[in-house]
This record gives sequence, structure tokens and C-alpha cells, in this order.
Amino acid sequence: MISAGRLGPSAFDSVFGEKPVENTYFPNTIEAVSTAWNILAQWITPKPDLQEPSQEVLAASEYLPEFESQLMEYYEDSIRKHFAEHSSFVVLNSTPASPEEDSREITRVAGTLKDAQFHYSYPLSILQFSAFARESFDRTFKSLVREYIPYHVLRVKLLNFFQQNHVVDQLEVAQAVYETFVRCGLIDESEMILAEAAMREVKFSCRELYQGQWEESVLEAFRDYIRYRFVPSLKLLLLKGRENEMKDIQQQDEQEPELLNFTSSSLISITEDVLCELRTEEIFDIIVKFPNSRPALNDLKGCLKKPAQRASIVSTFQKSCQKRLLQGSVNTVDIISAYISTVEAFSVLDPKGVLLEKVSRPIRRYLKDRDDTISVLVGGMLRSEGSELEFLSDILANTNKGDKDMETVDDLLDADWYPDPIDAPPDFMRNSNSDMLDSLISLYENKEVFVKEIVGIFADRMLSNRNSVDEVIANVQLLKLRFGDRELQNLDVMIRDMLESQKIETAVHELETGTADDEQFHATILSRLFWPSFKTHEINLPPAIEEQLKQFSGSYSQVKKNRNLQWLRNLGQVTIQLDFEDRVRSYDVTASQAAAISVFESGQHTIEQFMAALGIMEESFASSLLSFWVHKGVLVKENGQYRALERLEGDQESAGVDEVTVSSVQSAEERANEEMKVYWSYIMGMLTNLGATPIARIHSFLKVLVPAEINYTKSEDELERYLTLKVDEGELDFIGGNYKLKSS
Amino acid sequence: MSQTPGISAFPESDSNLLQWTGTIDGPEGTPYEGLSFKISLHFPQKYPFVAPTLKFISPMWHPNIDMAGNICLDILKEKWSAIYNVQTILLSLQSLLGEPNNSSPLNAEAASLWDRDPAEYKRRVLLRSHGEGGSA
Repeated sequence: MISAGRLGPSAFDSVFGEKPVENTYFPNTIEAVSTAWNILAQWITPKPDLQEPSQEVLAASEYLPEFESQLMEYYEDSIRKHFAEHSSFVVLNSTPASPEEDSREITRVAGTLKDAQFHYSYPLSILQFSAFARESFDRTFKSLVREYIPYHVLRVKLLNFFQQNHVVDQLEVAQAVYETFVRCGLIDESEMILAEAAMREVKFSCRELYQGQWEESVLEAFRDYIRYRFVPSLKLLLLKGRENEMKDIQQQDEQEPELLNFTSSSLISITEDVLCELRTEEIFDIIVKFPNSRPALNDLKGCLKKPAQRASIVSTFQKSCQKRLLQGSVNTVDIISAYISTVEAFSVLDPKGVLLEKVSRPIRRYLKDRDDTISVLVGGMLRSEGSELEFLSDILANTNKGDKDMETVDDLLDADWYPDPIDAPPDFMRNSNSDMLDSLISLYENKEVFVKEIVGIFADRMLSNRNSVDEVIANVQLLKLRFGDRELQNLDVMIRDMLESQKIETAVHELETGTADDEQFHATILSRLFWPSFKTHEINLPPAIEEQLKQFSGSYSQVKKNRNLQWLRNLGQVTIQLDFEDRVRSYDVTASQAAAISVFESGQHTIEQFMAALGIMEESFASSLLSFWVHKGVLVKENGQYRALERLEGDQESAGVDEVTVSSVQSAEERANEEMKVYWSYIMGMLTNLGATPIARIHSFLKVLVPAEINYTKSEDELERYLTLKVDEGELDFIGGNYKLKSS
Repeated sequence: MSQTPGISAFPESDSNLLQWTGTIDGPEGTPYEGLSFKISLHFPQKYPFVAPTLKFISPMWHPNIDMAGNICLDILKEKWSAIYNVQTILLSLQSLLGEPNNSSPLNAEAASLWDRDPAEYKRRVLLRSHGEGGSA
């Protein structure tokens, strides 16, 4: 648009005021213009070194208006050519490299670009080009840069660069590079990349600063960090980048706050999401560390805004549970502890309990299937020796005595009522008034399994220690509040048996000797129907004891008419003293164990001889008795013979393994087989009449046919175990997937 | 499903409880000693007000049982009463083996041999039992 005519030589007069009006070197002729073009074109062509303009060049530049646009065209062409020839210095390597290499490369390229820009714009800064020419040059240079530096490569490299040079710590370095790219015309690209880098940086610094720090609240600190340290640095960068542009634009007052406000508010708003994401990832460990990690949970609660985040917590936690908790190799105690932490932690996170309901389901299901869950729980509740869940007994002791009726609080009367969260299932019910123990007990649909276990433990305790009755009585009161009076009725009878026994014993002793006291012999009389079934092993006690038993039975029948005693010989407790050649030891042992050692008063025996001497039928029982004494360092086994160790050599005595207390109450497996016996006649009837039958059919038959009063509740697995036992016992054959009666 | 030794019965499937299979061991001291017989029991919808239909599945040679296994027993016909159950029916049937009613035989040959020639009677029973249903 600028014509040579309008900007004639006269225009230059005002600029070079002191210059003579007449150009001394070149008169204003065609030749002169042509010469000036040649001189300028020669000088302007890019060269390795910048050259000061000579007088000649300066003089020639006076003719510039005559051919400015053509000269610019020529200059831009030579820049393009020059840039292409030297492009290797600015082309970014598009193969992936380490962040450090990328960072170095981007710094180098930025330097080169800066130099190039300076170099190429040098002539324009010396000579008097029009604004139009400057703009044209700018456009040309920027398009050149954009051509040689593709966005996707720049993005990767710049992101890595910003990762290496945090805007907070390395502001100057970051600023230099960022500015260069902005100046070279990549302002939109650079801003986009910077925004992305900022997002990454927020996430990264969140992880860097707070990962694994659960014992104090970090949400506020993190927000402050973003607001007062990160955002200001970022603002500085962005403002620098926009500087030139904003000079041109009139309404910069409006432009500035808008741009920056947007950046800072959006960054602050993602801080919560970012922290939420981090804590969600860590949720399993946070819960395991509960209650120490309570602040982290409170942070997470503060960040939880969206249903998707809640869902993500649930799924993340469930995944970790499957991988790390619900495995056969994990201790039941640990799973229960984790479950307890889960319940407590999630009620911090979501007091309504919707999340808890979701995450606890798999754990509850898994716990229910574990064989030893009940015994571990009851052991903790009753403070059994070696139990790691003893705090359960504290909860039991704190059972609220009258609160059960207050349980239902009407929503309409609740002043603090607010609706259930949006992700609550339709059948969601809040049971707020129940404590941890209730929650654990509710793992099982009926409390019967607990009652059985409790009764078993109490039976063991009372039988092994007659003085523990008082403690049992205290516990029973608390347990009744949990499990109901009726379920624990048997315990009342058992306790009464224990108390009665002492009275009866006194009466019997009076009858025998005239005195009420006998320190030597005590009997506990049990009402068989109310006690759990006991393992009975046939065993002959030493004659002296047998004699005493007989005598007591006789006197008992006199005290209690029409009643007979049936001795459970293997349950008795005996205090014995063993005199060895070199030592005297006394032991509190069971009657069977005492009987066992008495056999070895005379010489050595094989296990067969031992069994014959005591009338023991089961070899496993016999060997458990023998190994008990071997562990105690009283017996030794040599060449298949057992003999008493009269003289200790070395530390044989202490070499014994810790004694394993064996419950006299039947194990769960034995009990299961006992219960299965009820169905045996049905199975017999079925197999007699129907011949070989597959297990699925037997199972479905039993379900349909066993009358309700007997009630068939076993699973197919339990049935299979029982039938396998019967096969082992030789009563059944298992052929081709079918069970049939062994043909006699 | 019975505790009584020598007799037992069981439904044939858990979906149809009206069709049972029973087993009777031959009573000791009779020609049927040591043998065991399968019987099908079909209970009508009106059971126990109507007698069940019993039929020997195992081949049987007896004065009151025909070659198709049909049984002539008064309590299954006119003397049926609702107080009878599977156990009592099978017990009656078991005692019928040792005490046939020879006055109204379905198998006249058996009836006549019962008193006349116990040895031959036993031979025919065994023949029938082991002969896989071949005619005697």
C-alpha cells in the first residue's frame, strides 16, 4: 500500500535533518536507485557475522522507500533460504528422549531461535523500514519457525522442560525459554503447553509433597501452596508472554485480570480433585493405618464432591482388598482388624454409611467363609489366651444395657436429617446404633454359631479350672445382652452344674469319711444334655484312681437316688509328681496324660503295648499322649520304643515344644460329622432303593425329603466330605461319579 | 427311609414324590431267604384315602403275585385304611412272602407246590429270580 511516490526523498529530509538535501553519492536517477538496491541487497543478505552498516549502506538506505517492498521480498526469500540451510540447529529431535535430554535440547533450540531472530531482525533495526515491512518480516519469521517446529514435538519437549524446570523454583530459566518461544510466534502453542504443564505440575507436586503423609491435614496447605506460590509464578510467565500483545491492545486493563483469574481459579479448583485422586489411590493403606491416618480421611472427605469420586474410592478399595487382603495367606486376625478399620474409617469418610455398605460387603462375605473367623472373634470377645483381638472384650464389657429400644430414630423427628447420598441403593438402611461387635456378629445370619463356640470355650474353661466359674458368670450377663437370654440358656445350666457339683461333692465326702473336706479328689457333675458333646476316648485309668471313681459313684447314687454317674475319664485334671533318678517334677495334666505316664513306671513300651496297657483304641490318641510327654522331656523314643528319661542330658527338658492345648470339646469337623449322622439313614434308604446316585442328586433329595424338624442345612461340599469319609470307612463305593452302597 | 431292617423305600426323584421304589429282603426261613426284591410304589393323588398301587419290579414267583408283578393283598384293596404307611405296607408284603394266602391264588402252580413240594417250590423261586424274567 505504501507507494514510493508518497514517501519521496523529501520525506527523509526531516529524518536525516543534518544531511544535505542533495545526495552526494547517488543522484536521484535510475542508475542511482539501481546501485542503492545492489548495495543494500548485498548488505542485507544473511551472513555468518553481523556487519555494521558502512557509510555507503547508510547512504543507499535513503533510496529505500523506492523499492522497500521488493527489497523485503528479496530479504525474506534469503532468510527462508538461510533458515532452511541452517535448520538443523532448530529442528527438534522427534524421537523420545529422557526429560533431561529434552530439557537441554529445548534450551539449546530456544537459544538458537533467539539468536536467529536477533540476527535476522538486525538490518530492520538499523535501517528505517516502514511498519508494514517490519510486520511482514515478523510474519515471515514466525511462519518459518512454526514450519520447522511442529506442535506435537514441541509439546512433548516443552512439557519435559517444565517438568525439569518448575515454574516455582526455576522461574528465570523457565521464563527465558518460554519467552523465546512466545516471541518466535508460538504464543498460542506455548500457552496451551504451559497450561498443560501447570496441570501436571499441580498433580506432581501434590504427589511429591503429600504422598504417604496421612497424619496431618494437608488440604489447606496444598491450596495455599497453589494459591500463593504456584499461581503467582505462573501469572508472571503468562504476563511476560502477553506483554507485547497487550501493549497493542487498548483494553489491557480488562484483558489482564480475565486471563489470570481464569488460570488461577481453575488451578485452585483442581487442587481438590488432585488431592482426592491421590488419596483415593492410597485408600487401602490409609485405612490400614487408621486411626493414625484420620487427618488424611478428613481431607479426602473435604475433597469428595462428585459421585464419580465416591464410586472410584469404592472400586479402588475393593480392588486392593481382593489383591492384598482377601487372600488365603492373610491371617484371619489381620482381616478382622482391617475390617474393623474399614468400618471406622469409612464412617469418618461417609457418616451415612453408604460407602461402607458397599466396600464392606466383599470383606464380610469372605470372612463368613473363613473357617476360623468365629473362633477368632469369640476368642477375642472372651479374652482367650493369645488372642490378638482382646479389645473386643472391652466392647463387650461396655455393652449398653438399656439402649436397644432407642434404636429407631424417626427421620421426621431428626432435626439434623439430610437425605441419603445420591449413590445410596434403594434398600439402604442406616443402622447407626450398633457398635463394632454387633457389626461383626451380624456377619452370620444366626447367632447360633457364636453361641456354640462360646459354650464350647466356657465348657473348656470351667472344666480345666473350677475357679473360673465367677468369671464366666460375669461374662454370661454381658453376652445375654448381645445374644439374648434364650440362646444362652445352656450356659445357665452349665454354671449351675458347676456350682451344684461342689455341694454334691461335699455331701458325698461327708457320707464317705464323715468330713466335708477332701483335697485329694474332686468331681464335676455335668448335665449331659446341656453341655457340648465331648470327645470320648476309651482309656483305663490307674487302678487307684479307678477305685476312687467307683467309690464316688456308689456314694453319689446314695446321695442322689436313681441317678448314675458316667465318668468322662479323659477330661479329668490331675496334679502328679514324677520322681526321676536325678530330679522331681510336678505337672498339672489331664487324667489321660497322667494315666499315660503311669504306664512307664515299669520299663519301656512300644506304642502297641502302650495302647493295650491303657485300653486305648485309637492310635492317634495314643500318640498324642506320648508326644505330650516327649515334649515335656519326660519320655524319649528310641528304636520304636518309648522309655522314661531318668537322667537329663544337656537341656533336653527345655527342648520341648510349647504344649498345644487341645480342646476337649469336639472340633468343628468332628461336630460336622456328628451332625451328618442324622442324615445317614436317609442316604442309606436312597442308595438301597435307587442304586448308584451322583452327589448332586443325593443333595437335592435330602433338601426335599428331610423333615423340617431335623432340617437339612448342609452344603453340597459338606455332604461330599461326609460321603468321602464313608467311602474311607468302607461303607460306600464311589464309582464313576456315583455313590453306591458297598455290596455286602 | 425306614429304620426296620430288611425293608426300605425311597422316592424315585425329588420332583415327583408320588413315585417310590421299595426294597424287601426275603424273610429268613422262607424260600425267599437271601433274595432281595424291588417294588414300585405309586401313590395316587388322594393318598392316604386311597391305597397306593404296588407292583414287583423284580421277577417274582409267589402264589399271590402274578407274572407281571401285580399283587393280591387285601390291605391294598378292600381293607385299605388311611392309617397304613409305607413301612406297614412293606412289612405286610414281607410277611406275605412267608405266609401266602393259598385260598385265592394268582399263581395256582405256586399255590399247589407250596404245601406239596417245598424243595421244588424253592427251585422255581430261584429260577424265576435268577432267570432274568424267563418263564418258569
